[in-house]
Amino acid sequence: MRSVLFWFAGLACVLLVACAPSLVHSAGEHDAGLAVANAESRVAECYNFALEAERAGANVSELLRILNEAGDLLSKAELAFGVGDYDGAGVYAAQCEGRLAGFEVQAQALRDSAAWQRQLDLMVNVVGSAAGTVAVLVGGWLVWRFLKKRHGVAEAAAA
Amino acid sequence: MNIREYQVPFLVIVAVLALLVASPVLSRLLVFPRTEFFTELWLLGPGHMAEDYPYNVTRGQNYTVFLGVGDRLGYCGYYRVEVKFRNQSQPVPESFGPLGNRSSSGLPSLYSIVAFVGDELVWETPLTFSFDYSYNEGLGQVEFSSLTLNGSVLDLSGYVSGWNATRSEFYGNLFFETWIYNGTTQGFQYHERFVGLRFNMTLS
Repeated sequence: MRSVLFWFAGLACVLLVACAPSLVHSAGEHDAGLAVANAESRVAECYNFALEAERAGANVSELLRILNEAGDLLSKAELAFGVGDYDGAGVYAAQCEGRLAGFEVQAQALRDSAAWQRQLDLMVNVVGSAAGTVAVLVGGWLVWRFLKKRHGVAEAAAA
Repeated sequence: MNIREYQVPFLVIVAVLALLVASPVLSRLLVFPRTEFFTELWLLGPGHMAEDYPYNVTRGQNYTVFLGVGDRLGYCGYYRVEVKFRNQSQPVPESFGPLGNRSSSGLPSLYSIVAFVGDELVWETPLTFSFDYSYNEGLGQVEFSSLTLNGSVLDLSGYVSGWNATRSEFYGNLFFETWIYNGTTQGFQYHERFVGLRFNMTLS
């Protein structure tokens, strides 16, 4: 009985040693795949923040520069993953996510600032300009009325 | 003096003043809306001109071209330019027919270039590439090993090119397809534009 157990234990050890590299490999592939997928999602998410800021009228050139740097790292991560370099893929994916740290805050600050500028611009240029035009027309009409009245009084006095 | 003689000059002065004051609001109202929204994609030769594109390619030799994307979509675009390679018998993306019906080449992408381009802006990058391939005398065909693009080695094993007697060349076609991110589907869709380079893989 003891010898049977001994042989089973030995067989289990041999199987474990034989399978260990592929198990490690598979775990590495899984982790790297997850890291690359997370980086892809993060890049798409940050793109949406940039898009929102742009729609609010912000100058997003700095955000696009950061996104392009992160995109370059994402491309490298995907390539490394494709050729089975899972360590490299994980490193590039982490660098990609690192490059996008604080992106949301920066995009929101730009968006809020642009929204405020837009409101100010609306107040000064649109409302101010429209009110000014009405004032000029009404003022012109009042001045003309005043001049006409004054001229009429002067003519009556002369007559 | 009759004041009515001054009525017309007075009206003109008031009208000009009113137009001047109204110009900021008029500049916002009298704008022609943009009606054409599209993306440009181009390849320029080594001198940054549409000339001197590499054709006779030598193994291990570096070649440089410039790839550009221009965004005229009305918003910043998230693009992926898929780098693909084909021989004469492999599928090419459709270049005819109305936009909306063209399909991409079914070949696998060798590399994906990510580009974010602002509205009314252009993005451009130099691409330096070289091919590693050998000539199989028995089969009379060029057998590719790899393509090195901007320092990244891309696997081309399994790609072959036979001799084209009509054109006297070992045909190779490196092409770039644009794909664009669709926020609704949260995925990329073929943007129906591609550019490419045709090569003769020389044996020297």
